[in-house]
Amino acid sequence: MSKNDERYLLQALDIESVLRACLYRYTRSNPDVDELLQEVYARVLVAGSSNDPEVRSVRAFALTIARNVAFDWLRHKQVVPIELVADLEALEVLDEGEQIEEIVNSHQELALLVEAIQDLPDRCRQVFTLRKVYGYSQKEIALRMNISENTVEQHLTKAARRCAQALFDQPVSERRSILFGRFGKRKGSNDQGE
Amino acid sequence: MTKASEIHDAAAEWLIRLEGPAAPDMWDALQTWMDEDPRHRAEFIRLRVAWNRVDRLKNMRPEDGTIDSDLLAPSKISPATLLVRGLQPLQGKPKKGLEDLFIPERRRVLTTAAAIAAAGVLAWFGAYHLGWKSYETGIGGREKIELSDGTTVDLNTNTELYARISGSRREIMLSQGEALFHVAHDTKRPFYVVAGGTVVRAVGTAFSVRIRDAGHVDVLVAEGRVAVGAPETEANFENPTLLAGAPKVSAGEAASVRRNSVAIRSILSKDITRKLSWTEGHLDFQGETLDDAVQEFNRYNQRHITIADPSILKVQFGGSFLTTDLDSFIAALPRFGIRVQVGDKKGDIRLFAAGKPP
Repeated sequence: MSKNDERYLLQALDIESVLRACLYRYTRSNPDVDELLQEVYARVLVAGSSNDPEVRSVRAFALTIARNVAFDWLRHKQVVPIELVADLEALEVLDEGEQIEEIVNSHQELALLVEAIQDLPDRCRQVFTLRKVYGYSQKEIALRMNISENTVEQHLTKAARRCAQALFDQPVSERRSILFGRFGKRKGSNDQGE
Repeated sequence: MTKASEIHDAAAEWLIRLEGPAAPDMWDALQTWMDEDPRHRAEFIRLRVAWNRVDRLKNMRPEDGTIDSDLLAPSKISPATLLVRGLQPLQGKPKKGLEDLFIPERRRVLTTAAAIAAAGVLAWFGAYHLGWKSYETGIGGREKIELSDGTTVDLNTNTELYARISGSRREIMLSQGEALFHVAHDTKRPFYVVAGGTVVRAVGTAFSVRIRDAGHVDVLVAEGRVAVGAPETEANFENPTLLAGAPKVSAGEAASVRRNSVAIRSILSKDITRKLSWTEGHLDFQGETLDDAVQEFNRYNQRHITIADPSILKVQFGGSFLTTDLDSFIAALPRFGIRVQVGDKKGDIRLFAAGKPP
């Protein structure tokens, strides 16, 4: 592996919700989206470590891969949804900057994260808090909470999955509503119909 | 269970297992698993990136040192505390005010260029390996951290860095801003700072590194000696050993590293203290140009100052201020023949020569 092999993938992660939306157009099924998304990331990762010429826009590139993966999948299933033709046209205009409204905003990330953590079961949330806010080791947490290290690992594994979901797997509109709902109205500019 | 969720679960287990008690063959086993299928590797990276980003939650740790495992309980945390404790320290990144959060903006993607660039740079310098910890400050922020080897790091305003301390080397990736390092002496583990393609190597010494702009890095040495590698010749962070001929910068010297050059000059010790006064939250000017002074203040404050009249760029300026006390700076300007105009949008400030019509 060359030293820069993760570069494309790191950028692609930041538009995960867009990639998911793209895949969903074809599959209409969330489990299938999960499946295909991993394939997209794998191909982005491989492209990033190859010696091919530099990709100018990684976002556009990742979207193209998502489309290709979706086409392969459809071909494999030999089912072409009726709305595919229309979707194709819609996708052609899906271009970087115009419709990707992805927000890689640290304020917002934090709000989403905290909300996700609050949803965890109490014990899991406590283990997570000691690990990630206070920097305790797994062993220290086990001692402090009088549970086995194995249990600590299980709690943290669950929390890690939830964090990845909170950070990457949020529909754009949902990210918005969480943010604006959380902090309330201001200047009357963010509330539609006002 | 689908294949996708199996991979997802396995990747999360790997991530957490690696933070726990080490088993001798764990790394080999992880490599084997990742080599089996690029989807394994990709999902592992995805989870690792998320897990590392979560580290910014440590900003919410109460300053009084109390430990509360229910700190994030739904009953304890309101939007207000989130805003005050968590959000504000991160305010400077991206370079937008808090109120921008409330304005839906179609093309906010533009403001994220810096974040994406930082992610890209990190990847370039080998985030492939685990063990990096990230630290950051917002505009006007300042933080002192201690690394596990005893090295202390002062982070100046709007700064982001990643640190990894291992048994054989100590590595810092400064992706944005400025930091002062008091390096714990350890000849067995050389201390490397990579900033904007420049590599600085130290053993035990005190020096600051500041990213000026793309391809331009300043290094200031207060104690001891460091070696500096120019860009292009030493961009490989996986093995950042410097060439034998790499320029050395000693205590009392500053290096200005650009794409193809390293310029080293001497600095009086009182000036070094002055240049590092940001660690105390001060800015001290003694004859610097107005241009330089304004650029300094703009680093620490959301409100922006513009010099609207080129004839005053080189006016010599003096005085001591708190980095975030813009009002005192503005109040001092008339004594140097500067007229101040506070604009109506976002309180931006424009400077003119006194006496000239607007």
